[in-house]
Amino acid sequence: MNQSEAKYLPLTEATYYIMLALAEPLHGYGVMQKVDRMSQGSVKVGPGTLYGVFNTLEKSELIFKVGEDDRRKIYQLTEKGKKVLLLQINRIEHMAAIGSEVKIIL
Amino acid sequence: MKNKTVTKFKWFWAWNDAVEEFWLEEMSKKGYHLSSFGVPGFYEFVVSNPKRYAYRLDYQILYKKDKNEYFQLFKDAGWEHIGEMSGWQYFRKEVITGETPEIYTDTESKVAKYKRLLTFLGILYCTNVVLFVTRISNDISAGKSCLKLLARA
Repeated sequence: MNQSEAKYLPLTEATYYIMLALAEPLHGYGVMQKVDRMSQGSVKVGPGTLYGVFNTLEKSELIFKVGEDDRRKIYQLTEKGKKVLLLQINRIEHMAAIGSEVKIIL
Repeated sequence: MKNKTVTKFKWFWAWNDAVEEFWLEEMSKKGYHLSSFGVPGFYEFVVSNPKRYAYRLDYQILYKKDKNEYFQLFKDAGWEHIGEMSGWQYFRKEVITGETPEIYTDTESKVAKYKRLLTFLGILYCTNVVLFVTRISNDISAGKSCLKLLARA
């Protein structure tokens, strides 16, 4: 496992969903709607939270600005961002698998 | 017809933002809706029909280049920006479904907001300490020269 990418893990639930949404180019409002859809309404991302996550992810070069639509910035995952997200997905898959094993005896 | 406005004075400390939000919500329930600020502590309200608003204060010092993006995010999410007061951004959104809308939806981002505020208060405190120490040392040296003059006399 690459050390430089592993340091971003684990991602918070909000960051995880935001990064999933940014697999394709999207502006902030699009991200809010997509996260709501993907999480079936269980994860809401408020504008304050989203602004902070965008800033952090951009500074860490996990997302980048692909363009601007009116006053809205459009972001997408960088290559580094994709690697980090994959690591997180693997982690969650392992957590789910181990959980299923234990679930039977509960 | 111009709406009637009322100015009220109330003082809140920086770490009491939740209390301030609650007060503004109560004012709106009575039909007083925040419209602008004057000197810190003075709030101007427009008098109109009572409404259920959620008021939220964000602590954010924005660079000019970031303003568009920041305000657009809030606008798209249905928040009305009322104004800014020394680093605090005032927003409100009507409560319709009974579910209280939030601008910060997880603990991490809420903590980050108070860290930004704490950094600012920390800088303010250090500046004050420096000013105080300079002042004291000036006073001491002034006192010494006074003593010297007296000794000569």
